[in-house]
Amino acid sequence: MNSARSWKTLRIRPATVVIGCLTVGLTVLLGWIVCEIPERPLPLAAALEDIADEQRLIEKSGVGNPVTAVLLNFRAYDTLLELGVLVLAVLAVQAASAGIVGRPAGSGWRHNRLLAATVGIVVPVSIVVAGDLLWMGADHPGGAFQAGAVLSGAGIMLILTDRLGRSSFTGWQYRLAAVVGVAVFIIVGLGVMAVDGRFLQYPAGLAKTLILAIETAAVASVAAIFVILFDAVAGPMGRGNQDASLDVRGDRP
Amino acid sequence: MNTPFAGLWAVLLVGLPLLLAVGAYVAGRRIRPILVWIVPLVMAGMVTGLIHGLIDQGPLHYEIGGWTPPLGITWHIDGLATAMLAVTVLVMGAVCAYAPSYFAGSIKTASAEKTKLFWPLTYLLWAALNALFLSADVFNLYVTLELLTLGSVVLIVLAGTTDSVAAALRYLVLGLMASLFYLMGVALLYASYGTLDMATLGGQLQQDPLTWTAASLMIVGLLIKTALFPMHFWLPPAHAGAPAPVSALLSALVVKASFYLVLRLWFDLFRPVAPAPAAQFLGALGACAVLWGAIQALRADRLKTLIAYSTVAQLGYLFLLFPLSSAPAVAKTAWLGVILFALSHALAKAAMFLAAGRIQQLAHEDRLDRLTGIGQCAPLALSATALAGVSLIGLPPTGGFAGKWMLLVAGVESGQWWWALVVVMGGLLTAGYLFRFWAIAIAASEHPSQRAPVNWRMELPPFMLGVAAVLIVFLATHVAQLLEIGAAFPIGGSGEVAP
Amino acid sequence: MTLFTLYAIGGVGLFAMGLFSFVAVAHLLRKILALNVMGAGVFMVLIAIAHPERAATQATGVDPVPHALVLTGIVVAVSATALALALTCRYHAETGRATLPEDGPGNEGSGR
Repeated sequence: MNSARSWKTLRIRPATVVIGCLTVGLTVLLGWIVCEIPERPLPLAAALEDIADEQRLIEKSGVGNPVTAVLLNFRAYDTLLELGVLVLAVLAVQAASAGIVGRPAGSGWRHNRLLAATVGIVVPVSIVVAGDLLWMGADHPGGAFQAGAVLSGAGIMLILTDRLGRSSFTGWQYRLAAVVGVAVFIIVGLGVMAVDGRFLQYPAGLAKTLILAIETAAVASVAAIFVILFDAVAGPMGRGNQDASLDVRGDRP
Repeated sequence: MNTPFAGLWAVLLVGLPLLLAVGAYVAGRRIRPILVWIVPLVMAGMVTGLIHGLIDQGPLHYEIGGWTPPLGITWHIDGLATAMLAVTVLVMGAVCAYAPSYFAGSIKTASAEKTKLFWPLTYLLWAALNALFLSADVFNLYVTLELLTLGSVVLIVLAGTTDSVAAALRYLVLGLMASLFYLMGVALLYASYGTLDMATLGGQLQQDPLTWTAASLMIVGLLIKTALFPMHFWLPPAHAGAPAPVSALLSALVVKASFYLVLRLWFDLFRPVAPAPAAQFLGALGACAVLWGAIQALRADRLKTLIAYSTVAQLGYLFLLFPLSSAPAVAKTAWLGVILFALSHALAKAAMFLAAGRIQQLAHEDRLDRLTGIGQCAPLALSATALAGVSLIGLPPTGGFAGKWMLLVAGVESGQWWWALVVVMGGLLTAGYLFRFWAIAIAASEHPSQRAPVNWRMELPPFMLGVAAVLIVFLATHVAQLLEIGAAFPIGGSGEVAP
Repeated sequence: MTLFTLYAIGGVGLFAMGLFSFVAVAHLLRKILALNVMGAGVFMVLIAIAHPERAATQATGVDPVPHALVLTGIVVAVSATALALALTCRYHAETGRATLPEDGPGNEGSGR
């Protein structure tokens, strides 16, 4: 094996064999364990005696979809922190992108007629689908993250066809969009404390409205952040396109 | 069950830094003066309020959203969590006061863009730390750990050098692997016990292979993040390559956070089901870390690398807790000693890194052999390192001494004298590498350098931190009383009883 | 072999394959991919746990909590991957290498 390329592929060295054996051992151990999980009475099941109890709990949460109820009501604090992680990712790519110089190369697809027609159909449909996912997420599968992902797909398509560029992302509008999810979440969470409650304890009856408000802000954030992340790494001015020699296979520069 | 105000302080301790971080990202320069001076004072006030609430009413269980576990997420606010929150406020306050002058005078980070990013990142890190110390839900801890790791990585990159990028990448990929180990452990625990809440889990764990595997996965992940030997190799380049205020945050707080989690998981969950050799194994790794880190620090050629290896060594002491606490008679002494040691190490190490940053700026240089006589130029910074170093070595009357003394007592009284020997030898080696630096710094140099005017904003914060590391010994009994509130030991705790 | 066991063992297998690749291969992009595979493995185990035959919480349907955990985990993994990729590209642009210094000879000579 050519030693100049051997670091990109797997070298069969003693250390690799040892690691391989340990990994196989770990697989066997974990595989055996997941087959042997003992049946125990689960705490939540003990608290809810029957299906009617469960229904009441879901109704109390304000939404019909149990996953949305868990994400945005029972374990809303996790979702809040997760939106914070997304903001951190944007800060991170900004820090890592320092020092990019040059004119944006552009992908050259802006005037391609087939793509223009496709964009003209896909982007509006994506917006509508995102809105639908957001609204339906309350009672059916869907929700803020799914909607945000679809919307960001539309945004990525616009970047790839040169309709949305790096200069668009430096303004305060995009920064605001990126942080609005976390900000609304915290403000709502603190606000409901004033109504004699705990952090993120939605008052009865207002739960659905508050959840929808938070989800809308989250959609804006998720979409903006994914678009910024894509642009920073793979957009025309992104790091990945500045340097074509970063090739995983290593066969050619 | 809990006072409304105490809950409000806890919520604000997480929510306020998050809001300020996003505000700093959007509005930037306008709110910076508030971030530097006013907010740390406000946060200190809130922590004090929390401590008063704790002393008056005992440990607090705050259910977020009003949902009882296992449905919702809870915060357990007890003495240990509050002590960590307090140390976080102190170190963060010093770093916030120090950072603007550091970035203004720094040669590498000339770009204003980087300083713009420092404030949102630091406040996000503060929010992550507070959220981690308060939380008592194993999945929520995973999210806070990720927030912490990602935030730390980005802060390292702000240095702008190639070495810092490499160090940040190494830390990132190892940290992500460690988080995935932890998450797999969480998944196995949920599969078996159906709950993510630590209090509920604590009462239910049984000794079977699944629990052992889940515990091992979670603890190994956290050990990688705490840079315990032999998974310590990412720490020296990362902490040495970062900007000085970031190094202070990383060495003082971030690695303590993952150790705090190991402590929580061990004492609140896994101790009754852990096999005895596990504790001895952790102690052995800690001993290796103490000795190996000290030897590498003796051989270091740069000041910040020396301090970073010192962190590796001092973290080893913390892991001596596990074998020592397996002897019931001295368990409480060992526990109090290790936590006191961790708190004073946080203060001392932050002081050292901040002072080292000032020295590096003055000398335009980091290599130890070029720092001859630097003490004449920055006497206040050197005094800060002296105060901090005395605590790190463990000489009386400092916080480090108090912690090490309790470890020695625990080791000798339980008959595990070998751990006491490790503590003593570690102290001697620490003195060795610190005296090496001080000897260089106070030597008369061939090129008499001008005494630079004292930069109060850069030299006073580390000095105050050094003073705090010393003074904490006089507050040791109060700190011990605080720590006992809600402690996981049946003796002395007014809250939860050990399972 | 029930459906739960199938998914769980699949998840464990992915986790182990990702771990092996992470430790054994030097190229940074492949390490990042390996981390993603490990993450996918953990998520599969979590989804398996939500299977009705395991979850006694929902007599009629699946347990929603692991689903929420996986959604959160996916978002966190995306953020971490984005950060890792951006840093790798920056590292490659500055040094011309695609491996960390201790891992291998790197990509000398074909950098920018």
